[in-house]
Amino acid sequence: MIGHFYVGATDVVVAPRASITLSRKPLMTQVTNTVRFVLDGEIVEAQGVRRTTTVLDYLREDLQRTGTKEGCAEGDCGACVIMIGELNEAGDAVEYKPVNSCIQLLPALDGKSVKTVESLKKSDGRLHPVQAAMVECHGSQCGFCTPGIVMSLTNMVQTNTTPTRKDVADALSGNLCRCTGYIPIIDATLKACSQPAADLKVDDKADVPLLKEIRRPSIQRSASTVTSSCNPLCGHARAVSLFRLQPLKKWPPT
Amino acid sequence: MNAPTDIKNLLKAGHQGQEIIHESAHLHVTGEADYTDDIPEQRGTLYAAIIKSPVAHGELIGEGIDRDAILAMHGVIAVFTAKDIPGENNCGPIIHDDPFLAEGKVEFLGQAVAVVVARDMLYAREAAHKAVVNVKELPAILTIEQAMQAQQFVMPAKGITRGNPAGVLASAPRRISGVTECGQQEQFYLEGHISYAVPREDGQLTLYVSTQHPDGNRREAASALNLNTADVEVICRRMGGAFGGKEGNASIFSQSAALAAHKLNRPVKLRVNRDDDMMITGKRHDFRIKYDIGFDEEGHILAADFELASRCGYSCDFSGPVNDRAVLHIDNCYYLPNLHIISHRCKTNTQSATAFRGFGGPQGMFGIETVIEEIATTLGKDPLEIRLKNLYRDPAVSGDAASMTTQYGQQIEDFVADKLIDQLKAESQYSKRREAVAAFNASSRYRKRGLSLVPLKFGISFTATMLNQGGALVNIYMDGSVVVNHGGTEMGQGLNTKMAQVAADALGAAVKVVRVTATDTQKVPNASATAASSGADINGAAVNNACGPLRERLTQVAANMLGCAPDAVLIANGEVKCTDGSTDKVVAWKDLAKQAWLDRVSLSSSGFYMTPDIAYDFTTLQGKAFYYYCYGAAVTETEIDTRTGEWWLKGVDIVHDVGQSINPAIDKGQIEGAYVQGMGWLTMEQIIWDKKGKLLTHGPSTYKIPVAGDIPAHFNVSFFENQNVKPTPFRSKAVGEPPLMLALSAYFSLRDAVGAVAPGKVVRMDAPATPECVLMACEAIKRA
Amino acid sequence: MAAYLTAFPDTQLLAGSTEIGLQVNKQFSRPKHICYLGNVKALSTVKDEGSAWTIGAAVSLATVEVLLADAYPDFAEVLRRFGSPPIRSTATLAGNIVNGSPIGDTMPCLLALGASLVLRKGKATRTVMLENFYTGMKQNVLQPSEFVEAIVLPKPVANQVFRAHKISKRFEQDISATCCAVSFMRTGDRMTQVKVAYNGLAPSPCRAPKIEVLLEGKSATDVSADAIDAAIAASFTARDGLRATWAYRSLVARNLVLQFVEEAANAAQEA
Repeated sequence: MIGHFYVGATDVVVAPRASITLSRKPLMTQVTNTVRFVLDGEIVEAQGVRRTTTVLDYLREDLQRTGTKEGCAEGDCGACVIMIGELNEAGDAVEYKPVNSCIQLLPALDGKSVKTVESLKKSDGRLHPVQAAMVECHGSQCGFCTPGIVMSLTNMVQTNTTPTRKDVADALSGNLCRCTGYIPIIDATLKACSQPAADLKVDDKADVPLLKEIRRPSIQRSASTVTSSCNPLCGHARAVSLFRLQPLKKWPPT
Repeated sequence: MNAPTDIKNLLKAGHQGQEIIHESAHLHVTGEADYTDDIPEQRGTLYAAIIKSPVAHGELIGEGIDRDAILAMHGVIAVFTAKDIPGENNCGPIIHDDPFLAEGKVEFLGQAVAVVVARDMLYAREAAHKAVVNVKELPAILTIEQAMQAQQFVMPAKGITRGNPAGVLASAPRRISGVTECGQQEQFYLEGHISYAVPREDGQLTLYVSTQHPDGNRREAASALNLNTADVEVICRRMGGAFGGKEGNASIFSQSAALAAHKLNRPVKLRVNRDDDMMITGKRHDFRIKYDIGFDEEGHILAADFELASRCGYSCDFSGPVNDRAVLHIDNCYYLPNLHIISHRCKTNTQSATAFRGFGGPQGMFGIETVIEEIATTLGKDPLEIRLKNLYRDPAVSGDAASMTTQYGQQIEDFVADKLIDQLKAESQYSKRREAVAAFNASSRYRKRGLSLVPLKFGISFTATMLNQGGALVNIYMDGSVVVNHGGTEMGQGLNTKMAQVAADALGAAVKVVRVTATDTQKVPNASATAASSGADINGAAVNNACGPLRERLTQVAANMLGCAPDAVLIANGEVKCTDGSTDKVVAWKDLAKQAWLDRVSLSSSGFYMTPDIAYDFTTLQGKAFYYYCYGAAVTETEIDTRTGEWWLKGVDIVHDVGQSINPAIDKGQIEGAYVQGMGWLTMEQIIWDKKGKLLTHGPSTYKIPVAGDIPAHFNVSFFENQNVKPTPFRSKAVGEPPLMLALSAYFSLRDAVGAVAPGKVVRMDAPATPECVLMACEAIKRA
Repeated sequence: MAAYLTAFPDTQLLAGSTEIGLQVNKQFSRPKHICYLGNVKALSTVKDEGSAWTIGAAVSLATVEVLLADAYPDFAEVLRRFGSPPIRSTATLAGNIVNGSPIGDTMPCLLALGASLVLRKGKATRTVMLENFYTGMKQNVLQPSEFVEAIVLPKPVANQVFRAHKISKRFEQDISATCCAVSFMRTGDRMTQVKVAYNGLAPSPCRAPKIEVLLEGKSATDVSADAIDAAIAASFTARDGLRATWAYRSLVARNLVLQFVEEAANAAQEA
């Protein structure tokens, strides 16, 4: 019997299987066996990936975004931290929260946007102020915890651009670093926050319209029917993916 | 040639001594730095997982597994056991007593019994998880006590006797005795163990391993598969941390990956998850230290008797040199004129304890510092006073010919602990702080503060003399770009950055044209592990020795280009000039390189270095063991809550000797990181086992390492102005391990705070000083 | 959603994913049916009902932490310390409660504050006090297809004292050895309507009525360490655990009550 991943409030049932497509243009796929999310100005449609695929595995294996790391696979070390975005009430901006991608299941991303460490560098090579400050302040040694730390800090500065040292330590309470002792990381954060607040915001103008696009309509159903528009497919078929080595970037670079 | 290039030339150039950013920093922050799991996988890659022993000690029934049952599991392609190993079944780095796949018996819970290979990582791990291991359980010895009772050891005991300890102890005016323990520690590198084995044509094999010792992995794989060592290539660009945990332990996994890849002729990736990593690999040795000390009313230690016993696990691994180093550091900075010390190496049915930053040194120092504290409490003096009284002293001042000679017969030539302590006392305002802490304790009912200043002296060299060697390969290309390759590995300590600085100065090039490439056994052969804090010393010297001939050749070419005498040629920072005024022509480095090629002058050179002077017999623990010493000291202030045992660091002040620093920013990072790691070992990191020998703390939810919130805002580090008395690169000193022992002051500060609950009474508190431990010590001292 | 659960009673509910993700990664769990609560608006809201908040089952701990920062600062601090920002951003109160770990940290606070749960099955709902929710270690009164729809948390009232503190090996981000929460009304120098709750001392987090009785109607000076020790010994079975021995847990459990009582009395005197 097939299993479902019910993405509440709507009648979307994400059944297992399919192929993954990365699209520039909004694909108006009405098929309900997909997970759709926005990644750096593009819609990602994951169809029929194993229900229990973690976001971390999907990023690393299927999207070749190897910047996000696995340190423990239990949500305790922070090497896997990414930002997940949702459209705000007004529908004109994205609100972010930090998330351990190693324990998030892919279908829960449906309708949301994602920022990974690869999302931060601009196409002209300029680093986000948090990244630049981490470099200048010698905030990394082996570097394995660094992407997760950069993401936790970048998330923090979306809403707090004047943190105290304690605020920074709080923001990093889920990020383990074994090499630095954290001191230069806190210094780097305060240095980054000396930049204009606008520079600290992640670039998500392109994501907003796409988030509206992939938003599934809320449907009130009578209690007697259960919608189930899933295809009768096997639960373990592995997806055939469009293979790309590097995170998707527009070509030619502007 | 042993001596590195003349220091004067190096000082002129100036990359060394600068706070150059880590060569990978811009890659770290963007996620573009590739670790072994990020290397794009070849098509057809298979995935392996380890089937582990469920018992601490037992006899395998047959192979231990049911091959058919495992092969029938979803996605499984193959399963291998010891039977499938064509050559030597070993992953032990020194003594070959360590099978990488159990044969006949299992000796710890978690030991690899088989390796299963599947077409997906998930299936491999699931199959390993579900596989049944058929084993007849035997009684297990799990603790130091049990091993001592059973007289079960991985190797015979060793010791040192100096002077007349028994006689002097018996007649000493004052005497104390007791026992203390310091715990195990998990390295907790953020990047876990991983090996990616790729078969090549004609029986060759390439292993991408997260490892401190590519050459060791190479030799072992060749030996296991009956291949020529030259046909096995091991490459490591960087590790996401290691701390000693990948000095020998990488072989536990690289051997199985190599075996599977070789047998199946397919690339095989073996990446253990955190739980398996912690269950299978070795930890820092925990020690039980018994002491019997004779001293006088001033606090001078007259005689000391120590019995050390460490939990070594089921095999030797590095237990020999670790325990030796504990014995060699039982003195720390202090002259112990009469000493008897014996070191027992307990064999237990637990993982084989392995290398971890400090390598026995911290544990030995923990012992003597505990003694110092107890003497201080007994005499009602500040422990710092006792420390100062017992420091090694110049024989001309002390009148005792042996007062600058260690218990292993080495004369210390560079002792600066006394001056360093003075500097720290001043910078940290120790006396004022001591008064403030006392005042606080007098007026505070539930919260108590502690303050402690602890110095360190740490010997630099591998105690196995033959490991103190290294090589380098330097290629200059026609466009002036330079590739430097050396036998050391980058694990975050900034070794490659320092090597780029050394090479740039040695050649006279700009550091930005220097690329240090991935450690590769095909480029530099027979390299020792990057360990013993010696990476920069040994490889830097080798890099210098490779650059020397290149510089000579280029100088000749430059002399021709400039039309001046070779003596007057100055190559520095990417520019070539003449210093005798005969011409003001300037030649660019890249043009010099091009001309050299046109002149058919070799632009490639290998370099080699072996540490001179050391002559040490590790069987008797006598001789000149170390090339030189590193020194440091820290003052830590802590506060405890005597109702709950909770504690907080209030402030840390450090003065540390790195000699003349090649890169002060990197060295400062090492000092800060090592302190925090040492603080974790002594306070919150606790390895817990159940009664059957199963590791219960196998992930970050149960095993807690320090986080940002544990670090106080007051954290000052300054360097002790010094140059190495030995001609190391730039007269710098090793910095990897020594600063870890600065954290002893954190533990003793907590001890001091507990002591404030009942002044004058001796504190009994082992490490790690968890809140439970602190509270129980408070309760005990109230009752004493 | 309720209808979906009625049709597929063995559905695994998923909100923060902090427990489920762990099971997927470490135990190779593959639930046949998974129902994600994150997009269900009705479950993601906090309603201010005047004397209490109704906190939807999918409300994140981060939202709860902000909500309670002024009302119950100790509860907010417990939340800050037990989950990092990435955990708090998705983990939920309901998840913590239903997972029912003996060392679940939100439960002592909720128990001491008299929280109750709204349970829903199909179209029917019922309310159960949290102290009556657990029937054993990780077992509760939920029936098949029934789920926690909301948590009702009383707001603070005048003269109420609420204190809570969790004890862990590492101060930041660690699971408790024990977490103690105490709530009482101050009437002159007497404590009334006393509730004391712990985790880590029993198969489920629970109140400690034998200790409550020692404090009820008393002043701080009437409370003795020995009496509390006896009450603890009578209430709980001594058991050493992975994170702490019984000796430590019981000692700290006693000391925290004494500390809260003493500090409340000092605060009252200074006022």
